[in-house]
Amino acid sequence: MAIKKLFIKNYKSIENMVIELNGDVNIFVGENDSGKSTILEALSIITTSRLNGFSFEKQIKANMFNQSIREKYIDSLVNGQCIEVPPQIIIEAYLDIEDQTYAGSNNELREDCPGIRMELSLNVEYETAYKKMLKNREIYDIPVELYAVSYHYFSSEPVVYRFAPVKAVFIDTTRKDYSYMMDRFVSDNISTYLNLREQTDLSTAYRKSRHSFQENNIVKQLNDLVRKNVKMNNKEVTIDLRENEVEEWKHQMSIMVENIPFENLGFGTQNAIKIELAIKNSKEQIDLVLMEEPENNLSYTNMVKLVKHVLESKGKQVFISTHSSYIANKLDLGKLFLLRDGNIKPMSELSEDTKNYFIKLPGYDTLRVILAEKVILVEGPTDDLIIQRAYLDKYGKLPIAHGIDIIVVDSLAFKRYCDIAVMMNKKIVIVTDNDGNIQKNIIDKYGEYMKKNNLVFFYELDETLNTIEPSVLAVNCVDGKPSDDFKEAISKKGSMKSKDMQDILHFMKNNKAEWALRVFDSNKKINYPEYINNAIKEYN
Amino acid sequence: MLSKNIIKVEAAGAGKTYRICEEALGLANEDTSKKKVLILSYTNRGIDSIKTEIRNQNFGVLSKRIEIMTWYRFLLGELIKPYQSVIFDINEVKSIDFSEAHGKINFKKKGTKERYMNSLRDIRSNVAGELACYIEEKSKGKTIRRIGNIYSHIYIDEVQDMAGYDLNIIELLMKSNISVTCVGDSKQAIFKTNNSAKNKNKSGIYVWDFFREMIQCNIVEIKRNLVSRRFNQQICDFANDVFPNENNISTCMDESTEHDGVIILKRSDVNLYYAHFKPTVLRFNCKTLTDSYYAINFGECKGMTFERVLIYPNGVFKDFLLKKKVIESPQKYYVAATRAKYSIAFVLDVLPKETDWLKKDFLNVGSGRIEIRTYITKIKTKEL
Repeated sequence: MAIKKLFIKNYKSIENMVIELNGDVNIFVGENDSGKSTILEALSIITTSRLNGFSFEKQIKANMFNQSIREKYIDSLVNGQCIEVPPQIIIEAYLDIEDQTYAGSNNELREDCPGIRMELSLNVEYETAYKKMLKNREIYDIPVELYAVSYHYFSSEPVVYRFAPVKAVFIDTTRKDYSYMMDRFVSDNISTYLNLREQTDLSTAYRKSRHSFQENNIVKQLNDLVRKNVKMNNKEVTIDLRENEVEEWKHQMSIMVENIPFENLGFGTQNAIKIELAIKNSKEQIDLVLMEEPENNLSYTNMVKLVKHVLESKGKQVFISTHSSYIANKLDLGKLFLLRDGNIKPMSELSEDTKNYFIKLPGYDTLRVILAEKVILVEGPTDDLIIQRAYLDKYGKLPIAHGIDIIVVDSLAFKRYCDIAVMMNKKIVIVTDNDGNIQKNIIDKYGEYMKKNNLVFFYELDETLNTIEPSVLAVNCVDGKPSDDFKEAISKKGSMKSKDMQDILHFMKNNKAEWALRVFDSNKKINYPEYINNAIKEYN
Repeated sequence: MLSKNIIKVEAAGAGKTYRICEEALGLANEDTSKKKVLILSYTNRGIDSIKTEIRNQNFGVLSKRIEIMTWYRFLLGELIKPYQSVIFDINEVKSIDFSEAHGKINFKKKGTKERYMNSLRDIRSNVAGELACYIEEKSKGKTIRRIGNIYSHIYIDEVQDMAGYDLNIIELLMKSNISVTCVGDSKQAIFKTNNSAKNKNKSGIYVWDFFREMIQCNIVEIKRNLVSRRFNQQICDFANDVFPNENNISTCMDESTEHDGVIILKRSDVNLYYAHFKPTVLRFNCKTLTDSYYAINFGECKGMTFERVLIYPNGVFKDFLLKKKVIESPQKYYVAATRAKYSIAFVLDVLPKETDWLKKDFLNVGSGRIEIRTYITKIKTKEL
């Protein structure tokens, strides 16, 4: 059982979206507020009728509607000319399932397919009330108090979630309440390893111990005293154990991890175990696992384990929202969905070449590029440090303070990142060396990308200055000699003071990060090449 | 080769419910395909007796792989709703509106929303079958295909009650990959060509004509079982008298008790008789008074079996009993005559004079003894 397609209309940041899902793993990445959680929420609503563990119906608020749809409706109320139809929220899950009982074409796409449809719309029961309120101009916003939620299969039969063909579990690593899953684990193990007779014996043993507690002399003594001294509403009062249901003893049991009760474990370990239970335990009749940013509260080792569990999970469809490049890369970037302003792009639109490149790329910083607000890609730590210092000198703050993330990438990967940027329509600034041949190393290589408005390339125009070292040196010379300020900036305890131009260039080329670090830390300001000055101006 | 579709004509009390359930459970437990078995009946009482029988044969529980529903529930849930969007909005159809009579002429054009749906978004029952056929056609066969994906076998009980578009639907089902078994009452299974106008339904097909045609086209195979297991010989003979035609039934039930057969008793003796034999009281309809005994109408006791019945006869039944006057529409009377295992007692204000077919007799009722008339049939049934 899997969801092959998800349709969302007017829910939060999503105005209209159809997502073709992967049968195994689906990774949602995006900047904050891009709609990752919205998708996981939609999945939770359609598969369990619950949101954050509570009935969705009881949490309906006007701000759940897409902002622009809501504004359009409110505007029409204000203008009073032509009132918009009260907006609906629709979520549909198109299922990949053998049982055709749930099939039909009662869905927005009019597809003949098994599935579930959730519709949040004005309840027809309140038709007259709505009309009256409209007439009296008593409606100022979406009248959610007149709304109702309905869940139907595509065959039009109403959904009873207890018997629904989809069983989903939402793993929220920010919450500590896992009692439901723990109970399932305990009772599953009991029914797997104990036969009925043994289970009954155990249940009887529990009852016996309760009974012996109740019959304990001290309890009796207590009750004698209570009986004598307390009267409620003129009636006799005693104290006793709570009446229990047949299965009560199972709820009294907990998981002990190396003799430590589960509740007392660290948050991270709890999460790790929880995730493992949800994904690995095949006895749990769970088809879908939803995880929101599972990297939270997980150490690196636990994250590695998590990824391993997900990769090894069989017959479960996993939905993960994440900010972790590690998770995204390890689970295959091809399963990635990029979200941006309520739009979604599956990574499968990327060329196979680029996809495979990133899967193998050891840097694993794909998401950093994808998620950063503003990106400057550079070839090495030298460029990184010099640009940061140049920015600091000019604006008084490091670039990151203005949301500019400088990311060091192997120059071979520039093209790959360009692909992502083109697909996401994201602005990226690229600072690169000309390596002595602008035509060959820049125009030929990036010509296609240079035509795109969102990709901006900066490089040294003078081909004799093939890397950043001669470029920087060139702008810090007076009369063909390195300036004293520059010499001081790259010196350690004055080590460069007596060196000539050739020596300095030689030092710089052989100590790339070191000279840049010295410049970065120096209290002397140096001059920066034109292309670097232009690059740092790009985001202002 | 045997056809996958079967029409069974069976005598009342031949155990058709028992066998439908037995077969359905057999199929459900075979577990070769993941598909389910569907049993359809016209009335809720029919559904109840099928459920009771399934429970009897299945350790007291219903089977997960057998769906049991009324014909209208089937039309609505499986034929109309899944692909309603070819004519209505998504999930627009609510339920079925039974308030309009079947004869009422619907002037709205075929294929228009208004023809099928009332203002409460319910489907008018008298055009539900037509709508189902319309949706099947418009959706290019998706409806039947979907049903074929869910069910491997469909049993349709009381098929003699089907008419018009219902038969078109049965035909579509029979021509699909689904195995269809229809079960009907033998007395009403008359394969004649001379349809009188009143037997015709709107589309001009008479139910048994329809099946005759299906049999000729080798789409369906007929199986007859005219031997009842429910009642004794006297009751069997009486039933053939009530509804005489070439499909006379016989019985293989040979139990005897202190009181067997068909009798008439005086109204003043009813209390005594009732107290001793505890019969189930039947009547034609609520217009017949039954001395404050709880009574079941003839039309509602279909499919039910009782040890003994006590009938308060209406005018038609009295004329038949006393004057041997042929009953014009004997279906319901036949149903009443075929419910009891051992005895049928008719209540009259005074005992009639003795005739060829009504013999004076006495019956021991506990400590008392009452005078009665015993009904005697001249015609001997032949084994068929």
